Amino acid sequence: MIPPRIPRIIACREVQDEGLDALYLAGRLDALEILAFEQHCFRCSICWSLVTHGAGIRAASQADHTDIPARTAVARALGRSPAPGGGSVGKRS
Amino acid sequence: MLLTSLGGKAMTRSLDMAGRPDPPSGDCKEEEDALSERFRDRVRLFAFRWVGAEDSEDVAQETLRRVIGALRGGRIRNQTQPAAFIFQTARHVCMELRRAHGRETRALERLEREGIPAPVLNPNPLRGPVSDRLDLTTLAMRQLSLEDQHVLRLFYVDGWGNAEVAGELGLSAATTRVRKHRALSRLRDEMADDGSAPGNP
Repeated sequence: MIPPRIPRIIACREVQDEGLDALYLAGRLDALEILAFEQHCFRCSICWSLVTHGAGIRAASQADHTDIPARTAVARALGRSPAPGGGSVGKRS
Repeated sequence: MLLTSLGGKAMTRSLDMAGRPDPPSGDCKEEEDALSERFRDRVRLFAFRWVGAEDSEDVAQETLRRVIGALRGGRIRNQTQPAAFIFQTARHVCMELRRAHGRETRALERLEREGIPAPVLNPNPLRGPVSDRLDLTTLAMRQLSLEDQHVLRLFYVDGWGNAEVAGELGLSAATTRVRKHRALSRLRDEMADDGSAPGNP
């Protein structure tokens, strides 16, 4: 159910410092955080822009995995090993 | 800006005999259209999460209809900051829809129990605020350096927060923030080069 009230006000700085836009799109915020973040995005065009671009990247990747290079392939090309369990993360602690 | 002028006109607009606000003048109509354009996707994405893809467009339309009605009637207290009013209206519309769906679900369950099959729902998961830009985003991503792609994938495909990405890349949180910002800027530039990029709302 939609929570009845907004618990707190989110600032742009918090969105940037924590990457709330990415956590929001990944479904890793709890219900009250989601609501607070969405309310912030109604007021803030900059953070809303982060969400729309992030959602585009996420949707494009999910729509066709062959179009955007796989994370493992990119990491290999950069000489890094992808961290184990990437892509299947739970709610943030 | 937009709502300042709209608000001024709306506040002085009279009601007709039936208590409805007068229809908008040409200028107001343009401003109302601009307001709808500015907030439609935000409402759709909000609704997408709370009521699903199938109903998100309906929620957006109903929300904007109510907001514009409130503006014409001068019922929005702070007309220069309409975001809070729009957000609350969207929440109310979503809650009403969820309540209606609850009633519908219970009715369908009752029909099933009585031996009448319920209609099959077929939601399209890609029907959403960003689905029409998938190809453009994919093409723009291809143009980025591997490092930029890697950063954006960690954030938006893997769904990691800033601290997790910083740990993965072995960078400070501040540097990671800058990397993400620059990668997104380059993505925007690539999309703009295509001539059909979404402008900042």
